[in-house]
Amino acid sequence: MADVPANPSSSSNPAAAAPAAPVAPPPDPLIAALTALGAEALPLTQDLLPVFRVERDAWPSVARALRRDPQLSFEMLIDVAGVDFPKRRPRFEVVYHLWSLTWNKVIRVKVGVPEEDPQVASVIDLWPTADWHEREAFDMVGVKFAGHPDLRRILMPDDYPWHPLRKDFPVEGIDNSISYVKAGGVLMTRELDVDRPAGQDRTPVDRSHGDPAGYSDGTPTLPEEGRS
Amino acid sequence: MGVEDKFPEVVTSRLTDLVGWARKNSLWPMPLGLSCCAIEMMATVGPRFDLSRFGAEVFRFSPRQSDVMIVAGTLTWKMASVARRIYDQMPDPKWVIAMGVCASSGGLYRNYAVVPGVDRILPVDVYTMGCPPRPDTLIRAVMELQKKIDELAIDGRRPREPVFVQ
Amino acid sequence: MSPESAPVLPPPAAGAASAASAASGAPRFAAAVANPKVMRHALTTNEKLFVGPFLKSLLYTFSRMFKKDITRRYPEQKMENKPSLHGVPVLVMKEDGAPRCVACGLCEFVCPPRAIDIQPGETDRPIEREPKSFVIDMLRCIECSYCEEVCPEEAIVMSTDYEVVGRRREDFVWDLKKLLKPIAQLKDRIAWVRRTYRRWDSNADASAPPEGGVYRDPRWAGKSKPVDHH
Repeated sequence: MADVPANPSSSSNPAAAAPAAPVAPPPDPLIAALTALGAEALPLTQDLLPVFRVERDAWPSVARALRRDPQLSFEMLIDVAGVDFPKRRPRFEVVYHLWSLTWNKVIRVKVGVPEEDPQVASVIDLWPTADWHEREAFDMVGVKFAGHPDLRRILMPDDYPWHPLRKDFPVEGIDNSISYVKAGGVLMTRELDVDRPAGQDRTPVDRSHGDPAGYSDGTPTLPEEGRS
Repeated sequence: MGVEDKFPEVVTSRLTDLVGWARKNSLWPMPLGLSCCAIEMMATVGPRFDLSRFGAEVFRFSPRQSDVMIVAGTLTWKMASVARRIYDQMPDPKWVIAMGVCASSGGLYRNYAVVPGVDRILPVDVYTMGCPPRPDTLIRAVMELQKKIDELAIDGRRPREPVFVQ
Repeated sequence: MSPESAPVLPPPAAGAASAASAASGAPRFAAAVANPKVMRHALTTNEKLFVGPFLKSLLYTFSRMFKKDITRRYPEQKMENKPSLHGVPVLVMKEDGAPRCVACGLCEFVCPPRAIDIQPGETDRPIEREPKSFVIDMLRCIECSYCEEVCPEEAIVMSTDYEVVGRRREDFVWDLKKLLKPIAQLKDRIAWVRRTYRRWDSNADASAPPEGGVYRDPRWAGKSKPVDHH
């Protein structure tokens, strides 16, 4: 999966010369052009979109070519998504969906991002719409986009300490309480009139046994109600 | 003895009672419509249910002019600071109605993004069940709030002292 | 910029497209050209002046004063009591005062907001299991009726009570004492449940009347027209 050839130009030249790409049924000049840029064509998935994997270091030049090359001219960035594969190396993947209005083509480009240095070049100078998409990917998965002018959280509070769409994050939150909002100093302009003691904020209905879905309650702030 | 004995056409009352009566019959809600409950809240002020029968139809979109905040919908942590700021901008005395299960307890959304009940950040006076609650339920919540206001003293916080009966 | 100098949508078979098609084999703007143009008519003098429509709307508003009042006075006039109403879930109490529930935990399993909590217990009666405690947090319940749909014993049904309001969250935690309702008050809903959920049962004989007879809508009482959607 991660065996991208070290010298993409030499290995991809025969592929460009031979139009019969092994993954797509009709010979596709698009795949040839992208392979010449250093992208690795991946097998087709169910949605029949051409999928490419690009090395992180090669991504800025590939993105520029995809946007500016008149033979490619992918004018529109549909989506930027961050994906977490906890068992893969590299762990994260940033997935771009690009649409060429000129050629009426949609492709998907995947860029692997290692966990140790979760950083990838921003494409905001090529597609301005990447602004909020990259902010969302940063917020949810924690991939940083180098060159983004305003990389803040977009969905979670600014002082939220975690990236909730990582697979090791419990869906019910680690500390779903007010404490971190207090720590950010955003909220507490005056004291609460009702200050519930811990454990009373949820009624005894919450149970910690026999969870059918297999995930735990995940709220360590709440003490276990007495279950006889 | 008293004024009422001498002038039978005059009714005397305590100032507290008068202020409470005025307050509870002229509630000006601040609609914090966050999701689908807001649609039912709009229906409540419509002609079919007509919240103005209870004097609470003047929805003010400025917190400075309102005294009851209707939190209608799912409150996320991102929105929590905004909601709190709006509440802080409302003049005292002020009350909060948590409309629907999302506002009351987080409801269906037991996840990292949703506040599990707006009473984490606001002092809620009346909780309302339903997903979303029918307009009838919101009207009942307003009536319950009126009942509560009637029990409060003139500062809108302490309970009202009972009338001394000989 | 005049529309001649900057065509937003060039025709599909233009000369420029031939070069592009030669490279890719794909027609240019195939999808975009298919969009029809939005047609608008010119405004009439009456519409331009705005007075006529304005008066018309005022007249409409004014005329409502003489029409029938559609406001429902809520605390006095409640909603029509239909058995299909999704209200508060309640537990069916049999004639002998015991709950029908056997504490199998299916509703607890299926409840999307996980508002139900059951602790099973045993009795000496022929039906040995019963809930020792059955608690529903009404501030979590979204009245989706999944519990009613999944219940094999028809022990939990939605009632027609729907206005639940309180000042404390603790008031919304309903236990067995508050949840149990005599079966006589729930007959309509149980009949409705049998009629409705039998529709999704592929093994059920659709031509046979459901247990307890065909459900009859009270609005059709005396009109000899049973409401049966099978």
